[in-house]
Amino acid sequence: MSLSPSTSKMLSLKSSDGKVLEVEEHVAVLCETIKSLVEDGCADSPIPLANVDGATLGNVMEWCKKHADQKASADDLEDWDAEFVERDQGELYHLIMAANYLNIKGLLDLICQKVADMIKGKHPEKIREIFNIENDFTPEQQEQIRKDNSWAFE
Amino acid sequence: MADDHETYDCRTKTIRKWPDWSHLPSDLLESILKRLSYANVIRFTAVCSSWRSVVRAYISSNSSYPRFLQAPWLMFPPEKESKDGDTRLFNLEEKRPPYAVKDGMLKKELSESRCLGSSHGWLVLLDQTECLYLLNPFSRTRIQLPDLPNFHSIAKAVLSSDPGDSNDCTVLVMYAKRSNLAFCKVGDGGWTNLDGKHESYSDILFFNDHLYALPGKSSVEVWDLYALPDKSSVEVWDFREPFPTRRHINLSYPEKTMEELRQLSPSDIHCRRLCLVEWSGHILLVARFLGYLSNDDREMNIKPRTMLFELYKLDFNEEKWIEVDSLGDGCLFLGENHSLSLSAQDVRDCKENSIYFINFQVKKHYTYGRLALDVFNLEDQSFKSIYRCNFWRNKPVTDPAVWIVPNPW
Repeated sequence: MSLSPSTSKMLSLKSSDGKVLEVEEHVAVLCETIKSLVEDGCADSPIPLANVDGATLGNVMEWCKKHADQKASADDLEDWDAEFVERDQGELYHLIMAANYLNIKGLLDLICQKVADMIKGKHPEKIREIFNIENDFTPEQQEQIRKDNSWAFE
Repeated sequence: MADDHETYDCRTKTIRKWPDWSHLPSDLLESILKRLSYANVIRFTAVCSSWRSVVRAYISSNSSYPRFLQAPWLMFPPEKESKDGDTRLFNLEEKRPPYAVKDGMLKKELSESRCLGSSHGWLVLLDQTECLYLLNPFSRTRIQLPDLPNFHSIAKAVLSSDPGDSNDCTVLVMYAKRSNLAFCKVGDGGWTNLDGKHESYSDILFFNDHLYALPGKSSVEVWDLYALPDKSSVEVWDFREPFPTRRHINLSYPEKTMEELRQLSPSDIHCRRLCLVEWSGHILLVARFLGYLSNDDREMNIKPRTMLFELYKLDFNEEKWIEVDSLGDGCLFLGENHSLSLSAQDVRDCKENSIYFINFQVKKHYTYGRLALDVFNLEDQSFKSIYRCNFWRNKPVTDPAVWIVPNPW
């Protein structure tokens, strides 16, 4: 099967909230999950993606479209990616889950690196605030962690 | 998700639900974790119990050193202005002042012992009672080593592997005015001397289960680690042309090469220091040249500065040193204790094709000195200062700063 842009046909993708998105096949197959369906001839129309909402699917396909563009240079992609991940934690959360479900390694790496960069150099309390996490340690555990690594929390 | 927080978004006039990241699938948390260095892993651990268990699971399933790719930290004595006496830890990756070691016991050990080496996250220390031991300062674990009669004369010690990780760690020391080598296996009762050439060794290195020593003249001594302690396995490679380089720098320095060196650098080259480091599957010989920028420097009794680096890799087939112009994406961290190299692709905050090195200015038997961490860029041959401080110590210092890769697990 040829997946070159000139002969690429359109695929319909259906999000968890029932939105249908028409995407060129050579773009959509950047998602390994969709690629296997297409290759196995199991791609229903539309392909139901029960774990991805419409807004997130739109963002994912925007990333795939840019990365399927063979004219884009590596530097161009790097700048574009840096801008792409400038999002709030909610959007990043849905993107990381979608990239995992759709099995897009490049996008998953990009978002994991972004999240790692958001964690770097921050106090655990600040990390909890950013990622909406409750401190579930007992006071004793908390004290032990602090004692073991007192210099890390200065 | 039940735990989602709701906030009102004025811009879109809707209620937003913020996801709770504590229950992100563990394989995704692990992918994030792998991109963090030691200090950030510690903070990650302290966020919540589910993140903490991801760290524990990752560490127990990845037992080989180093578990996290990261730049080494620089450990050095208290700054002169600070009277707290805390040993300092400088993390290249973080743009912040050095951390202070506050743990009383650790602080005392670090300030009262002499550091002879640093390998695989462990320090080789000699305390005031002439007791030789290994210390992992990040886990505060100690391993006692057997007595060696000439303890005070050890110039350097290196380890073959992480002693917390395997039962197979060998400690090698260079002692007696750098002319003797001896080794012991961690857990064994004593030391075995290696019958080398008994010249003054410039450096020693473990590489691919072999032990390499660089004697003064034109050879490298190689021992097979697994054949130890059979002393007959020593193999001495004599290189007829020790440094066959374009620049004709050979080991009979300085007489023959003074003129040529002057052409390379505007300075008056004063001396050369040699060290061995593993780089990208090769043994690299680093020659660091110290000199004076001008006659004024010399007259004002300023200490010689690092002017130039030359790099050679060992060609095992040809048995000669081949000059290296570029480290590619690699960077070197040079220190008296143990030098190491990394790929700047793995450690994003380090500059590729660069050499990180330490300049000390310390008078013998004095307890204070100056420390400068600088970086030399091979691409444009430029020097840049990263960190400077004055330090003091409660005993005379010779080699005050140590590179160490945090490895407490």
